[in-house]
Amino acid sequence: MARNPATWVAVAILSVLAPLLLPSGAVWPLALVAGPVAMTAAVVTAYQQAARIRAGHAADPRHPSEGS
Amino acid sequence: MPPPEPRLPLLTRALIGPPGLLLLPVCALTGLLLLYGVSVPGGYFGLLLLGGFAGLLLTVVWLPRFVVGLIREDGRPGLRRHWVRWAAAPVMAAAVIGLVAFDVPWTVRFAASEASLERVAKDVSAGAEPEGGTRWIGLVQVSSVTRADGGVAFRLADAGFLDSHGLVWSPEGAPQENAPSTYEHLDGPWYEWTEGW
Repeated sequence: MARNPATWVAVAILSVLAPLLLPSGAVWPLALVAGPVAMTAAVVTAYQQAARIRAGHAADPRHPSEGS
Repeated sequence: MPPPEPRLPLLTRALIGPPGLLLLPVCALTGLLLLYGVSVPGGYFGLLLLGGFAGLLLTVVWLPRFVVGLIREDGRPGLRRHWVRWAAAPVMAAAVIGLVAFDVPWTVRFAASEASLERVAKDVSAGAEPEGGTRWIGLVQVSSVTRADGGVAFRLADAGFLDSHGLVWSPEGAPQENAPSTYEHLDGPWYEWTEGW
């Protein structure tokens, strides 16, 4: 689940929305840190996922460029 | 010939790709919202709150994508290839910050409305009964027009949060300061008027 960018995007959205949903003033600094951190994790996992898909695609013997 | 690029999931493509059809128009709209929000003394509180939150969201979306793309070897070619799209958002942000810092939105709005406001001020000063209710005079929306100390006061609709803001046309010099009202010279016979909460 942690390797899925969608999980981190969801965490980032919840972190940024948290100050609107929870009344405590302490949530703001937390959200300002947690939101960008979760978004960074989402981007990193997206790059890793893209690299895995590209590697799998290149190794696939049924690749259209090689004829199927 | 290199193999064709595999089709990546939509979210993955969006996260590793350049800002596109959603982020850049939202950026432009947020910038316009913020510029409109500061286009009156005291600003439009609700619009500024909304614009500030949208700006925060856009920063959280744009910055990590850019920084990770810059750090990663497989991200840099995309940054170079689509540098215009990557540069568009910070350029818009810098333009908005610059325009706000030099108070351009209000300066332009007042300059475009000055002749209309002065016409109304002279009419009211000459004895005409001011129209009631909120209405547009030039490009500014006023909620009331009243005679005041040899001049005419225009209260700006929805400007400020707890304080009220307006303009005073006072050809005989600065209006008398009387708490909670304060005046700041704007241009010629015009003064910005703030009425404290």
